[in-house]
Amino acid sequence: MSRRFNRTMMVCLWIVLAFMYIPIIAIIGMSFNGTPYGMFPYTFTTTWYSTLFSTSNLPAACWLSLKFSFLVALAALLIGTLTSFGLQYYSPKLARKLNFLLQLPIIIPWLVTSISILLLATFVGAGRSYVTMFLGNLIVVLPYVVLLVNARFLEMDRTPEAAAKLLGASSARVFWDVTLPGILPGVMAGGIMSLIVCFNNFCLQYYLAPVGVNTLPMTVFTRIRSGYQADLNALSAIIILIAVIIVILFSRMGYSAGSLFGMSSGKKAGKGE
Amino acid sequence: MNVSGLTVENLKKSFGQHEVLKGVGFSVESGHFLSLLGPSGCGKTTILRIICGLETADEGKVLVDGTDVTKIRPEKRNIGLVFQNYALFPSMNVAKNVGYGLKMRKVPQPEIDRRVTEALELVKLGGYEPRRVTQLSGGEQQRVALARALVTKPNILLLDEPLSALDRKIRGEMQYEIRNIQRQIGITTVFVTHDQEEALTMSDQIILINQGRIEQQGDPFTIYSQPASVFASDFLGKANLLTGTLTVDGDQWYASADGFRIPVNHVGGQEGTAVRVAARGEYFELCSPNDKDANTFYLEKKIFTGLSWKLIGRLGTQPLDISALGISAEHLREETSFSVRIRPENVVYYDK
Repeated sequence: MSRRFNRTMMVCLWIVLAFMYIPIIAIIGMSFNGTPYGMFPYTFTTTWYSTLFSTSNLPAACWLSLKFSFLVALAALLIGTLTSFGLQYYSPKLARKLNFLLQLPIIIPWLVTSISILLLATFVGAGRSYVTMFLGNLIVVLPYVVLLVNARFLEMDRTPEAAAKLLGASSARVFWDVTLPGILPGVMAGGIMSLIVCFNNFCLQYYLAPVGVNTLPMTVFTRIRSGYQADLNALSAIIILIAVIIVILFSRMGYSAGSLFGMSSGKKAGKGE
Repeated sequence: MNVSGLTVENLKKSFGQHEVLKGVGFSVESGHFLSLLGPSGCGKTTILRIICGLETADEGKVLVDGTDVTKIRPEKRNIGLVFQNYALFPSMNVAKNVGYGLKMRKVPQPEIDRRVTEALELVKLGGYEPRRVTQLSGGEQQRVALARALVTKPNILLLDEPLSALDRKIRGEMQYEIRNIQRQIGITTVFVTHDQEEALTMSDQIILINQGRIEQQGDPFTIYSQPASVFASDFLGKANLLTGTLTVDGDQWYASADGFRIPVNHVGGQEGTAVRVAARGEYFELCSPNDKDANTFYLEKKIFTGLSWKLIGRLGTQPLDISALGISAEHLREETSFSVRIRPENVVYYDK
């Protein structure tokens, strides 16, 4: 009975894994397929890669999105970490209330957030601009950083900070020497989360980007509607490759992606715990 | 090393509605080892945190060598603290952990290195400098924490339940080790624990704390053999508590009840006063039925604990546990009665 149950669970696991990974594998396969629109017969080619790096408008859009996301993530990281640190000094009661306020922007659909930001920006005369787009994306990703760093603060042992203080360290030194290394996994998770959310965020960028500027999500969206070409598959394959490399690097450094986000991945992360 | 005495006067502290300390005062002679002993939540850790300045008392003073340090910032008090969970810095190696206080005091690096090595040798961790603290065992982490607290040459060393997370065997070694180091450098030490055996083994002086008040203070032997209250007798080594009334027969006073009569040294109360009697199980001895202080003990069950036999039974109608050394109780049979006696100096009684 329990053995059959276990077997069923195993089957479920494999179905879920297949569901998650078949599209990813498919797109990599299709990026080498000579027949466009992902159709058969499958003929191996690297044409799409050469198209991607010669005539395609994708790399430029991708580069813009990367630069933009990095900037937003960096800002979110700095502001978010300091916000979370500041929250620790409020009473637990107030911190809980503020926590609620922080969660709201995550729950509110981006559609609504983007329109309200656009309305506000137009009202103050900024309109669609890089600054508006930057601030809009920043507002959306900040809560991730604050919540992830908060979580780290909650699970972290705070007594080493008292020990450092007792040994004569100033508040700034305590933060730098003890607190920051302790919350670093949370900070990094927040940064990565911000980067991903921002890199992906079609909605906000569609509403807030200056006229004529196209980020990667916007370009891809336009492409899907008209003029789909398989160099998009090539770009997707490259992005997947980069993601895989990042995950491997992190696990080499002793973090698993799951542990960064405060989730267990079966094995305990060896570092900073 | 600079050795200082410590005095605290009338400490009071409340957290919200909860009054944690209700006026605690004591002093430790310089170079002595004092234990604050009590159940969890009795306020002993709060006292320690007030002494080192991590917590501020609502009322009362802390004096080091007669100087009031109550208003001095924690890092200026020159007091070393070892935390319950060690509170090592996980991102630094052993040397950096131990040397942190010196670095904050702007001691030049070569001297830091020299003193770190010295401190690590003192706690028998020579050569551990480059190790990561997260890879050390509990006992080793404990030693690093001790070295870190001692390397700055504090006037007073505070230890907050430093051994409670260690397993029994290592705990025994560390008790001995800590006491040894403390004697060697002669530092005034306050040790917080809820483990009565630990307090008895290590201390020059014990202060028993219950619900924010001092229940009893004295040297280990006095505290153990003459517990001053029902709480003290129960917390330290679980004495038997019997109820009876005071009676007198000639010069000798007794605590008597249905089925027993235990001799006591009279310290107050009149004939007929209802009292509670604390008598430790290991102070009872077998005797002949003709002995003048003999009482009949009915043995219900005996349990072998390795060091001794635990004899569970009744004295008259009241439950009594006797602990007897291995050989002496082997022949005793369950569900039989025999005679036992206890000397009056080993019995204390309290007004009921």
